[in-house]
Amino acid sequence: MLLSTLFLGAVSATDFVTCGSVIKLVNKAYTMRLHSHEVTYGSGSGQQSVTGFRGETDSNSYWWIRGASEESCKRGDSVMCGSEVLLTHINTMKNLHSHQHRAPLTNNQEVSAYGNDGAGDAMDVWEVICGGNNPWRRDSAVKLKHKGTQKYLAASGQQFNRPISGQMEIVAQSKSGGATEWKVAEGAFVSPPSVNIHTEL
Amino acid sequence: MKLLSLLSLLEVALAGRDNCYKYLGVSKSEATKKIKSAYRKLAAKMHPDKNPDDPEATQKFQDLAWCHDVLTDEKKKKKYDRGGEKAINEDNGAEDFEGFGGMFGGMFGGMFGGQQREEIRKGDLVLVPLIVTLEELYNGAFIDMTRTKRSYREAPGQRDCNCRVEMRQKRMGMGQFQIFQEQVCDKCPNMKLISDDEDLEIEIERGMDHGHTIDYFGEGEPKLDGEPGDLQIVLRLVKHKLFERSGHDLYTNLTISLEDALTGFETTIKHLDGHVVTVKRSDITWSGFRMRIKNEGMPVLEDNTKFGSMIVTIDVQFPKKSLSAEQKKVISEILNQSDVQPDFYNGIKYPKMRV
Repeated sequence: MLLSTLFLGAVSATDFVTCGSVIKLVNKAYTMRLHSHEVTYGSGSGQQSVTGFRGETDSNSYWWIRGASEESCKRGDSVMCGSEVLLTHINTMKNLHSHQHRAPLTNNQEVSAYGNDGAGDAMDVWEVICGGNNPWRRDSAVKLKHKGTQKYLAASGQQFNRPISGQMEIVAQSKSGGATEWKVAEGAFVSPPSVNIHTEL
Repeated sequence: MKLLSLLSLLEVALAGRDNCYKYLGVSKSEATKKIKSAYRKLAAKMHPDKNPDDPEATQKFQDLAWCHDVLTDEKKKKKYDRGGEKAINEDNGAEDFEGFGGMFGGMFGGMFGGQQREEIRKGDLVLVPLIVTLEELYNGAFIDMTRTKRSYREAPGQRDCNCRVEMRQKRMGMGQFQIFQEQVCDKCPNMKLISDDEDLEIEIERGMDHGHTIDYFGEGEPKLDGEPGDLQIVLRLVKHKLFERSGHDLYTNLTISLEDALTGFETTIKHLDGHVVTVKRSDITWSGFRMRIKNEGMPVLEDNTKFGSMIVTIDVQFPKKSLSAEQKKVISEILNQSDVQPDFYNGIKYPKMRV
């Protein structure tokens, strides 16, 4: 008997993923959350590693989503399919990043966390791939395509050993099929600006 | 302060643990979410740190938290509806009320009044960066967020918990003992993770600054056999087109013509709330000249009746086209500065201009 306490009776501002929100992304194929931490790769770029994480209660799985430029998506605006975004790891303020380095375990492109205080470079930009000129719905999965190299964010299926045992390798791959679908799970979602109905005491 | 809020604060002053519904301003049939929302708003206003002149502030605040605790717990609410404050105290005696428990919409920048707590295992902190504009910091703002989080709930069955290794002795006969380790666990109720949506109403108060943090107690990540962690909003100020903030002051730059620099000028600038500030000068103005306009800066967070200054730095735009011989003659006559001879001195920076 599972009862989730949804807030009834208010305007549902929670259907879409909005700019400025902090989110967890779950890989549909492997049920792993996109994750980062202060552990660097021992190969490739040597930058901060990004992994797939099995746990559901770790704050290192949260990412702050913003439009790739400040004007393109204001705080509270829905993230649109086809738009370009930045994903910033909240605990280290480094951006989800990819580049032409080999991934640590498989013959794919490395995905890392890069930058300082939310500012990185052009290789931090990802395109949200979903259907039509629609907003990204929270209940549906999307693909994330790296703008600079045109590769898809994916879980490779291979797992690491110590010190991050059980965590999965996350890569950017050429094929759009496979473990490339991601769905939003837990988070803190900014409401659209029109949903500010306040009664001051 | 609106008349409505004055009245409700008066009501609040009269109510207490024996009149929780009135205290929180909710009806008996109100949904738990509304009760929590009402509690958060009142808690922000009634926090002892915000009412330093009220000797009863702490008691009032604790009463409010007690009411919230009771009315948001199904079992406790039933007891309270039947027998009031007495009914709750009866069963629990001196219930160890955990200070300001439950959801705590904090606007106190992380000051929780130095609560003395035991080492309790806490879930992860969730940091939420929040982009704000200078207008929002000047005028104040309300920003809504929905927190979708996981929480632990009891499930059927039991599980092992508090597992530890204990030493055991076994008599082997003939006066010999064998000492070995044994894994020993207690039995705890089974727990499962469920998903929950919570409304977070974030109040940006006038005068807050980049980097200011707002804490939401218990809205972070859950912890098995522990307490949920907190959620912390961190303000991030974006660059403004006209103003640069430094402390309570606002800096802006103004370009004027050489004519205005010599003959005086008057102009206006639109402030962050739309009111107009006049900037004028009748004396000669040189490049780098700074004008300090009092009370036109940012409001002070702790006292919104006080403001910083607006500092306008002037730069002068000289004409590009060369003057004719005739014009040069006229200007020399007007300025009549033959007593000021060209004078060299050491240095890289022009002394009256700061980079």
